[in-house]
Amino acid sequence: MKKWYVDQGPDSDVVMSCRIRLARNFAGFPYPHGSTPEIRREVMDRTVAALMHGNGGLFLQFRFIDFTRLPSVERQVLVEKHLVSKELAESKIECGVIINDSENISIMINEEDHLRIQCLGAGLQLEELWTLADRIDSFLSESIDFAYDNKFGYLTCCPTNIGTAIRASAMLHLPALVMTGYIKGILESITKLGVAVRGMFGENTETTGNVFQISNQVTLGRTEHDIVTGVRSLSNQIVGQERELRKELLAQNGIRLVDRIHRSYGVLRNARIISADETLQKLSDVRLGVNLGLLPGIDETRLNALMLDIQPGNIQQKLGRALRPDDRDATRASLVREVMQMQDL
Amino acid sequence: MPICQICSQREASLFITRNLNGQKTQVSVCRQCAAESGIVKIDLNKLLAGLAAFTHAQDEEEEKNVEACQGCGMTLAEFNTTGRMGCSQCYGTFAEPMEHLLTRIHGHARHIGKHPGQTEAEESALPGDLERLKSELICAIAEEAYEKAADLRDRIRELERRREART
Ligand SMILES: [Zn+2]
Ligand SMILES: [Zn+2]
Repeated sequence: MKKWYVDQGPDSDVVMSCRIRLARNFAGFPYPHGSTPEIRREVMDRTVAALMHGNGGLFLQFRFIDFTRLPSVERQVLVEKHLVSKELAESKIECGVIINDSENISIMINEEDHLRIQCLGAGLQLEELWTLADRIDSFLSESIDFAYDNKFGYLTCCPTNIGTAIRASAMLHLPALVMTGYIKGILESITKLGVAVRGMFGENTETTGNVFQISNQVTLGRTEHDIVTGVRSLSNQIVGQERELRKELLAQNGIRLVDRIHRSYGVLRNARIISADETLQKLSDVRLGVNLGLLPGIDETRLNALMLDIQPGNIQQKLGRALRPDDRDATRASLVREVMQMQDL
Repeated sequence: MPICQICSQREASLFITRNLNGQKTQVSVCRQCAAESGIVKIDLNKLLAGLAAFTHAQDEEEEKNVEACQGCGMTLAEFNTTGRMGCSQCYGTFAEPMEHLLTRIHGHARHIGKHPGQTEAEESALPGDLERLKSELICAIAEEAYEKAADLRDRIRELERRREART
């Protein structure tokens, strides 16, 4: 089965992927962290039963991964594929995840809320993902009584998620906005609109690879439809600006930009040791080169997949064992070389 | 005004206390750096807790933190440190301070989206669609497509009826 992240979606020259996440809780049960092992187990069992043994409704193949028996390297891989959160991977309580074959749907069980239904897609297709998440939610609610209040809507562990309990997000690759410095102004105005922005890779302080995630902050007092179209149309605007700037950069600073792209391509094709950070930076340049038609032989979706594959956990899983950082960098370099040479110009 | 510790340029508007290895350190950052660095996300707990404490203090200084949720035993004092509810009943127990808090976070305190057991017909007629249906109706009348207009009119009526029923 083809995984979602090797697909090319709409507006994929700028939007790498998008996600809809719904939080749901079982009525009458305490939230996972203040709960008992027995209740947490029951939440897992009932969710698995509802999804995997329920007939009709959803024509999807799911598998359940119980985290209580899962090695941490394998948990890490799921984090890098964006299928589970870091919090779930590091959780010490009874928890797990349900994933479908093409890995575009994941249902985290016993994270902060009992259920976190996530739908992932390539490119910008938030409306479609919302329709899918909505269907899964409706299907689950036929057999599970969700905590809902007429006034506050769907109740969640954290008050920031209450109401629709929806989080719509898009992952944007914005090299031109970063290079020109316009990104600062954009980030500032976005935050004022009640939309959150954060760097996708790298720890807190800076963004590696020019990849940003934007998502709605308000979940209460607006409909899901409004929230989803809000994030989508904001993404569309940023996409438009990024495209304009790319054209302008190429027109005004052509030779420098082309040089930078080819240098980065050269590094990825030839390096023998490379860190995850450097790989992301160079991949960002190469991706831009592909989008600008400068590196015609390279498949953009391979680059997206590579951004995930070169993360430490994925590298280790490929080799089937834990690695020292030095070995990891060498292994990463050879993986990157292999992919780059496969895509010969 | 203190200066942001990350960019050393803009005024700091967020002050975050972090617990690092048992040692408390205060970080002052500007909004922009906070958004870029993701600090805000991490310390949302503290922010929420601060807001809850504020609204609570206004309401009933005397009985402070005595009331506990019948579902899970959580008190407002506990919420103040974690920023997280213990169970869904907590929202009923602390309905009043919660309403203040939710209004501050979301700008609203009333849900208007999907509800459990919602049918597909209801779904396709959520409030966000009302405006679109109305403009479609105007077009249909202009095009003299009366059958379509009648259908649209019925859908709009149904939607408005349901919207009223809910408020
Ligand atoms: Zn700053
Ligand atoms: Zn409670």
